Amino acid sequence: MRSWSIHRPGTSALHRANPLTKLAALLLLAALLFVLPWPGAWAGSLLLLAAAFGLRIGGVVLRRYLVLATPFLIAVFIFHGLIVDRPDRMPLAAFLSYSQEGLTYAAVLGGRISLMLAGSLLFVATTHPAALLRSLDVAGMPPGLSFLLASPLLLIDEFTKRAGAIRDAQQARGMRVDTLSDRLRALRLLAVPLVTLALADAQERSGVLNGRAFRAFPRRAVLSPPPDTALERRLRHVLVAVSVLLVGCALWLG
Amino acid sequence: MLVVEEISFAYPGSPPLFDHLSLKAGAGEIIAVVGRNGAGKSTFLRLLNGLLRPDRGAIFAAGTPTAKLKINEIAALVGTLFQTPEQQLFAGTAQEEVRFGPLQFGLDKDVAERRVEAALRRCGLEGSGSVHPLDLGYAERRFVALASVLVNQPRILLLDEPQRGLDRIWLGRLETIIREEREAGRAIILVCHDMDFVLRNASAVLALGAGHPRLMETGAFFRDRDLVAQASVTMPARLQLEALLADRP
Amino acid sequence: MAGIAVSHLTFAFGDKPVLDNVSLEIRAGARLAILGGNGSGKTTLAHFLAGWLPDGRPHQGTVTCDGRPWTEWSLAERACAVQLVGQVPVRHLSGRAFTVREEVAFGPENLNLPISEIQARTERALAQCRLEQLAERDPFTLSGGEQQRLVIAAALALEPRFLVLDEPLTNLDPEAREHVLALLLSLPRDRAVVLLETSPDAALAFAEDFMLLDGGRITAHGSARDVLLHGCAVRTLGLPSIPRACRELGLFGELADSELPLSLDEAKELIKGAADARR
Repeated sequence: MRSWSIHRPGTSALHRANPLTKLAALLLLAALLFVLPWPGAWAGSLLLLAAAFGLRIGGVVLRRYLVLATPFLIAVFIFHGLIVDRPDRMPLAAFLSYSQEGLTYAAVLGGRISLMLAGSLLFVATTHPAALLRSLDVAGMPPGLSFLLASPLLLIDEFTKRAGAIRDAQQARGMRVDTLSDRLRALRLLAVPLVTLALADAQERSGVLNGRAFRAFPRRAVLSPPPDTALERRLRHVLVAVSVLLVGCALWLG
Repeated sequence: MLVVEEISFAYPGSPPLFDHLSLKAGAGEIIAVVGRNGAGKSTFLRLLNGLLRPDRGAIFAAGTPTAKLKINEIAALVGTLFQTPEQQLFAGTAQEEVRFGPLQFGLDKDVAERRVEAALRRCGLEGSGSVHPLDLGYAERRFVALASVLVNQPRILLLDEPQRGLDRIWLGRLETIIREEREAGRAIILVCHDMDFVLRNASAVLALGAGHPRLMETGAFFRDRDLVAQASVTMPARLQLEALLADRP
Repeated sequence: MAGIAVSHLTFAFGDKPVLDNVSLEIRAGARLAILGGNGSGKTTLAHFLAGWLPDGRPHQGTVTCDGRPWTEWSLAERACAVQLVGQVPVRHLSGRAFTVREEVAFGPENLNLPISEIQARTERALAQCRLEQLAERDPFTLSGGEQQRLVIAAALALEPRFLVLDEPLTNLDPEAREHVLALLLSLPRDRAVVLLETSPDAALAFAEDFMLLDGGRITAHGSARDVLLHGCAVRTLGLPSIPRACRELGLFGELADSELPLSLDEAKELIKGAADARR
């Protein structure tokens, strides 16, 4: 299991659904953001997180949600609620003041972020990246695009290993990591070689891909395509149509 | 110079790699650590340089117990050339790479520069100081890494497969450096799969993954056919020929 | 002519000359070792042989396959003609496969072959490289030797006529080296295999035809004895281990380097011959 992955295998309907269907559902979620009031967005997030528990992946999804959402949401509330100058500014305590308008706006923004994040995490936890790539290939997506999705996922661990090796070599040559400034300096020393190595790696890998005829043709065959049914295909069409309708209505009604 | 006292170590969730392992390496001794893949050779080096700590037992580098020292403090006594060091170079030029160590130890700038130049010269890299390590060839990169270890003048040298992929000229340079370090009184621990190299350079052998590892004189190790087989290493060509000669009527 | 032909190839990286007037031919069924020291131009030559270079860079001379320069071949055609395996296997993984089986199937999938054909080629390549047990493993969690076998399997799945391997054994431990060598020796004769190496012993274990690349030039071509015991090879690469051991032991002192035994069996014969002569 890769270190960053929250994918957990399972047999639920969501697990078994074709990745493209799940992507269409995410699209609907995004479209809903245009019409849902902020309490709805927050309620939706809670619903999705609860669903994760129902699918026995609640722990890993909630943990990742909290790690990703918390700093962002805190920042949004502080910025819009306490910092941005608005006409309805009211004193709070000491030098702090707050704005009801700002807090509401933060709730809207936060709700949208929260809903999309919860939906995306549910998607990622129930979809193996390989299955997603295969379904994109089957759908005729340009191979280069799906490669851009896959390779960071696969190469993150490689680069973590490389970074570890560089850090070990630096420490074994006397680099201190006692104080915060030591550690920041160490990070800086790590960043440049990793980027250089990444670029050199990318060049060699492009040779490898060309050598194996990647993108020789606009489409590529798929040995084990993820299962798909006529019902799912119809469902996808409906999901996309409803999404377009929702966005259209929202824009029309202003 | 190096004393290992009854160390034991296991990675979490794995069977122990070492159990009450002891050895002593004096000044000017070269010990080859051999064994099949997974026997713990590189792990052993990481225990010696402090990147890993033994679960039990003690390690003394130049008389100082390493348990009391941080990794960068052990680095003043123990220098490590890791496997495929080409992947660990991080500076913009060969000179900067080699200069890194002396700067960490707060050496005087002039002293550091002189040491850097000397290390580059020893490693056959006089003209390559201002070249980016990735623009150097495979062997030169290996030697930039070696120079950046030698420049700190550590009392104990750990070399992990230093000879891999080198042609005769660079191999000769490596063996000269190893000989010079030995004559300067360093203790050298050499992890190596190449038994011909071991036979030519090491005075003693520690075979891991073969029963209870203990230090043996190089010749004695290779004469013990069972031990050689248990350690999954090949007999050096010279000894194979000697055996052939011994069998002739 | 059918095969890869390099004709008067001269190439430099910036102002650094790498290859100098190199000419050679690789025909079907070849088992060729091109030996060279560090910095002799092996990797660059390997890249030219496999069509990875010139990649738009200036050069003199030509590299053709079946009479056509690689630059005129489409990606798909070239992939079915030649495959390159490098020194560091993890850098030759596609970065797009989550299992060993996917990695092997990657090439045939790119060619848009029928599914049954992709399946057959994948299983064949997995079996040939003894990777069946590892088929569902993540390629990035394999050992170096296993990864190298995987890269070779991924190359074989494209059924190339020419397989070029650039120091494939250097980063492997002896056991993994044995496995990969055995794999190369087991390849059918309709595939030409070119091994670029620094180690004379590795070349001896595999090749039937030998070339020496020195300072960007081919300076020797012939049998193992012609090339590996040639003065230039001995200077840059050293003698292979058996002749070297003979010198260290003072055996066969009366023989020139080029007459020394290359293997233990040859040494045995010479010793027996000498003993018979004495009787």
